Amino acid sequence: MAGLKKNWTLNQGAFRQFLAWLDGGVDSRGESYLEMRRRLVLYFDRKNCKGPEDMADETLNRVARKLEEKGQITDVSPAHYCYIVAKFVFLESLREDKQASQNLEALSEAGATVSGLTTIAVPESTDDTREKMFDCLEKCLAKLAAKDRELILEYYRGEQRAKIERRSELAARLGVSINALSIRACRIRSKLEACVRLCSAEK
Amino acid sequence: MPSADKHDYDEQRLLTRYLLGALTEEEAEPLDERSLVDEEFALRLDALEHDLVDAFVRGELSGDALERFEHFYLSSPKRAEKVEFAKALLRLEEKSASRVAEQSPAMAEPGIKAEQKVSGRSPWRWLTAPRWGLQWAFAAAALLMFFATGYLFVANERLRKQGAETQEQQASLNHRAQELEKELTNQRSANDKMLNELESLREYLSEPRVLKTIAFLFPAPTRGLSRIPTVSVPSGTDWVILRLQLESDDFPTYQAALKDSATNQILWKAAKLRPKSEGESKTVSVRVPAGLLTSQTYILELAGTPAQGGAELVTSYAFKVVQK
Repeated sequence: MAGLKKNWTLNQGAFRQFLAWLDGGVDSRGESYLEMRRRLVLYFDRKNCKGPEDMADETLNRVARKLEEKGQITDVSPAHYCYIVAKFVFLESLREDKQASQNLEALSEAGATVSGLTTIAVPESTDDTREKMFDCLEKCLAKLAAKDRELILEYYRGEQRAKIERRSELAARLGVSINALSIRACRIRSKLEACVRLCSAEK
Repeated sequence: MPSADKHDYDEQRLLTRYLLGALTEEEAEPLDERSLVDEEFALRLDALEHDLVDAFVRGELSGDALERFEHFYLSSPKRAEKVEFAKALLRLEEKSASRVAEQSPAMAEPGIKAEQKVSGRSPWRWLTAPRWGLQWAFAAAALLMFFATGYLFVANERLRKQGAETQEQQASLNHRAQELEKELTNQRSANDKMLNELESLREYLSEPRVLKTIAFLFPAPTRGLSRIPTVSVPSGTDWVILRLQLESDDFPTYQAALKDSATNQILWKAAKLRPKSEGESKTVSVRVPAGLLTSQTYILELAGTPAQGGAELVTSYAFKVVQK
């Protein structure tokens, strides 16, 4: 990545300052940082960027550096500032991709055989991969609190109309709105996905 | 369709197109910003993405949505990983459903998923859908109810017995109370009677009146058999004077003793009785309290008292008293 100055590193002090700024005065024990990083990864992924996690880290590093340089950033909210920087990072990546593509064309005209660097290769999942993921899912489900486990299995069970009706019944039983139930289920599923990803990477 | 529902539907369609890469840069930019800045929006977007992936895995997508999903959505390794996760989740659901079908053979129809039966039109389908936590919870609740029912039954029996015993005790106490009340009433009645009698006696003693006296003359007993004299004593008599006729007057004074003829017990005595002349004979008068006499036979023994002391039996008079 070209944007980051090579002589700057995110030290502990700058990182703490950045965390505190993200928290907005309420200590979240790093949860605000993790959540912002997750959203940035999803943002870059939806943009079909090659390395969404690297780009998310690049965004956060730039914000932390700017914060250290300026001492404080108060004209916009932390989330909004992160979005602005992320947009710059994305546009820079587009320029780099475009430049790379032009170089490829030039090489191609020159007769060189090149591979389609802009094409993302999605590896086919194998039976082993699927089996590994299934085992990890069972393990990660067992780690959940009983009520969370029951909720997520109940919430995502069924097809179409049956699923909608089941969710209404579940929300009524728990005494919450459909929207609140949806958010709760979404959080549990994201947590479960992260656990399965880690578990699959370990084996 | 109500306006709120239509708004939700329109937003859902927009976000689905956003997730499938079907929006232009201008259309996507505000959603990009909200996905980073607005926490609730970000969560709703995540929830919609999960449902979209589940729909693909279950084969519920079709047409343009399916094509875009396969060409755009699956082009990202991270998004492909989400699809694999959703497949694992579905496999878990099918495994659970097949476990339920094994336990209930009627459900095991070939080629048909247990979930499809569950999602049928029966309003009671939710009862047959396998739910781990709920099943355990229901089983635990049923067991708890069983024990609770048993406990309540035993407790009810105990309380019923206690109630019966208490009623018996109450009845016994009531009976005892009635007896005591009756006894008290009797006591009061007896008290009142005694008080009345006492009052009458006081009246009797406090009022001056003439004593009622009757007298009888007993002739000197003869050696031959004679009839026993009867002394009739009317009620209200105070004194009974018995004038005893003497054969000879040999003593200056006499003493008399009233005896029960049956037991020979001395009932009353009188001493220093002086004889009196009545015509040619001498008599000794003995005044006996009428209250002492009852309807029976008595013996009155007369003894002379010499001047030097002592007593000598002179004669005895037998008589019969009749109270009237």
